Amino acid sequence: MISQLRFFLYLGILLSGALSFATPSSVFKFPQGQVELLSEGTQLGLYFKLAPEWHIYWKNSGDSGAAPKWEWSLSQGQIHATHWPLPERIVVAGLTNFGYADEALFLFDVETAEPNQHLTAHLKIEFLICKVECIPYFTELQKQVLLTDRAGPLAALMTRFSYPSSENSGWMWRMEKQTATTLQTVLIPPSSLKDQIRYIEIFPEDGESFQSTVPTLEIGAQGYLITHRLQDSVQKDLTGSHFWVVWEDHQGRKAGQELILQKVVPASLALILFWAFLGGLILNVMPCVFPVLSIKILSFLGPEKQASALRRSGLFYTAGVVLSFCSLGGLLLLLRAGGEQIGWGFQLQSPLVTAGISLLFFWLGLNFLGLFEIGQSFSYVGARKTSSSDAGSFFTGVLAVIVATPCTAPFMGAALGASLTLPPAHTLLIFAGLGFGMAVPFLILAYVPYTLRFLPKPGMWMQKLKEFLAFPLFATVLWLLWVLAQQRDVTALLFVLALFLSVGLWIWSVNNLRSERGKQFSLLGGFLLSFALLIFLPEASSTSSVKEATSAWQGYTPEKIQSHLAAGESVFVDFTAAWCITCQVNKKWVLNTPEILTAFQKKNIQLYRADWTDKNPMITEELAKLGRNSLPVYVFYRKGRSTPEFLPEILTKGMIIDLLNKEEKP
Amino acid sequence: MKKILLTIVGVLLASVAGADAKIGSAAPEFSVQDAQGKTHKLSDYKGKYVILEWYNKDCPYVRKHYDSKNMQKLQTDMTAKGYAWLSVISSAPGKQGHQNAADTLKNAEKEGSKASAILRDEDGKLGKAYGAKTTPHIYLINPEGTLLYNGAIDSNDSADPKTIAKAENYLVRAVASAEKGEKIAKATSKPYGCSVKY
Repeated sequence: MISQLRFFLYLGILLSGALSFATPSSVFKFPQGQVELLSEGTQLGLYFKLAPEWHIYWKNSGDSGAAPKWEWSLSQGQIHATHWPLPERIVVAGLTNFGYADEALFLFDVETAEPNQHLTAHLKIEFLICKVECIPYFTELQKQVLLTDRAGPLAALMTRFSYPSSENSGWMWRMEKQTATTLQTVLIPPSSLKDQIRYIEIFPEDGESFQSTVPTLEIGAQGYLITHRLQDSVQKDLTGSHFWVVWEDHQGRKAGQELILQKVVPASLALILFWAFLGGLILNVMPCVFPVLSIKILSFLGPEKQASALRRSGLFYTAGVVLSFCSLGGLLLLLRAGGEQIGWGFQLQSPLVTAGISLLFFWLGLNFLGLFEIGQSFSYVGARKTSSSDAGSFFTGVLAVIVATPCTAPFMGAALGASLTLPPAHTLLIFAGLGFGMAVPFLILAYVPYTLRFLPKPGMWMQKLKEFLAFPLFATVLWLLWVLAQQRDVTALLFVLALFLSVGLWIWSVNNLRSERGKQFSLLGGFLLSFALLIFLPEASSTSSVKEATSAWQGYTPEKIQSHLAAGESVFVDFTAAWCITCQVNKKWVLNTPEILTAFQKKNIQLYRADWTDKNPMITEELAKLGRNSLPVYVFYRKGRSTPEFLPEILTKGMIIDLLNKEEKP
Repeated sequence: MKKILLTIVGVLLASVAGADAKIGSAAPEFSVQDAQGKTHKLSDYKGKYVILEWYNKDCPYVRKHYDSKNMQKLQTDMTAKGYAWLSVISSAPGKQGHQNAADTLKNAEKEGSKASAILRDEDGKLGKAYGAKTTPHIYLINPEGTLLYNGAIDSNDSADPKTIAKAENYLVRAVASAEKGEKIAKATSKPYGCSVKY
């Protein structure tokens, strides 16, 4: 027994001695695979083939593991560049690693004095492979190599891998903001790629500073806004950090780019301002704004069109619009600075605001219908050169902004939300630009009286138009009330409708008063009182109030999503809100159609709906984790993948079908 | 203003981490039994430096530091100064490196471990509270309970024990600075090794 043991011991010593003195071969085999030294043209290649589920690591290994290490000695010439293939995120037991599953081919450029050289390439290598357990290997490889320009056997192998381009082909990447825990950057792809990128992923080379979890990615007006999570207590300036950007196009081809983070003053602020200006201009034709503004235009057609008075009126109106937009933007920034995670559209998350705006619209509608007049100064400004008409112009501007908010929230939420990631001063500038854009048609009318000639002649039709425009206002009221019913319940709806009834009754009775002054006074009183009464708006009677009736969709909680993912199921989440019109359109025409619901069901996709109609902190937090602060957001958690996929804000059935079919490909 | 309707994009999800321990803040409290069944709380160690070391007997990187006796030597040095050295096994039952209490003791004996105690964190609560990612992952906590160091044991992430001699030992550096009342130059580093088998 003892002698047997001794025999094996000697045998072992002999064998290990033989191994260490023999010339290393070009292949090293180990139980989980093999590594081979290859050559091709003026390149050397190191090819790893691993058994299923085993992986090796990228130069930054991520949360655990270690990068392979090599030490070359060439009989002549030297290695002057190393090419790592594009890595992927490999998640094992909750830790995220960067590496290569199944196989990897590392390339090394050899530089020699003369072409067509024979040389001996020798390599000492340490590499770690892991499945869940890890095994390090140490070995040496050697190969006689003829460096020629001709293609060799490596060529076919190389096509299976992608390598990043180190020369920047038009990408821009700059630092936005570095805090103790996060780094925000803006990544702008070259315009040639803009429409081709289907999926993009970021790999930091610096694992000491950056966490390996997927950074959150948000589409802004300029490009991707990326929020990287930092390791604890990173104090150094991260400008100059090296990253790999890896993207996949619509055909599933992968490509990569090495990038260095730069600190550049955003040159494109002017461009954003231009878009903001244009957006403001468009606001003028939005259904909630148009009626109010038409009245303003009509006032220009009044009998006394003194040029100076017109200009004055235009200026005060512009001031009203711009200042109101800035105040709203400032309020939003303040709330965010105070730790509220809100985006544009937040205004409509408060039932009180929804009810208030609907009440305001109701009053305006009645005013348009001619049921009452509040002086001449309110929303109906004559061309009198009085201070009250200045204030009137100013408040028409304020009013225009207030009535515009229900429209900006659903249509411009995403864009304005993205602007909030800029420095506060820039954000305010954008809001100001939006306001200026909205006011500019009036400024033109006021300053270039010639343009007034393009407006139709005043006449009876003005009165009729004004009355007619009450109806778009009432339509907006209907929508707001519907939102309110989602936020609270039918009781709240009834309360507001009762308020409407009282307002109507009040106006009717006030109209019977003899004294003009008394009328004005009572109307103003009633106006203010009706808003004051809103504080009695009933709370929702039960927490479960009015939720999705469609049984296919389940109520969202992050825990449920996690448990489905843990069980190996795919999950689709619809982040929605009643006040988000795009969401409603997508829901009606895509998500809730039998065709799509059946498609989901066939693939056994778990459907969840996260309703953000009310300010729900849990959903706000989840959205923040996804890097979003405005709706709609559609997320698909594919089984077995760590990174959720995002769908665009406007859905088509085709997108959903593509998304689901893609799963079948490996 | 526009929405760029790129068909988009990918993102995220860090699930595990979350509330990891932060340098300069109070280290998370814990209450875990050691291999002898005694309960250890961080608060029991008020007034002492505490070193946490994540351990998995079958991890090659743990082997690097134990087979070379590097870890035992560090344990001896630190405990000699009156520091508490707590080795933590966060491997879940059935996972690599998990041991029952008796085997933990037997293994520690064989290993020549000089740790003050070996904590059996089977449910991974302690590991997750600290955000321990690898074996060996090292934490240093000062007598007031503030976290001073979080990261790798040294600067060389090779599995080769021969690299230990030339590597910069981050724990030793951190302890030296802390004792002198100096700021720790490298308070965090990227921990290397095998993943903790939660």
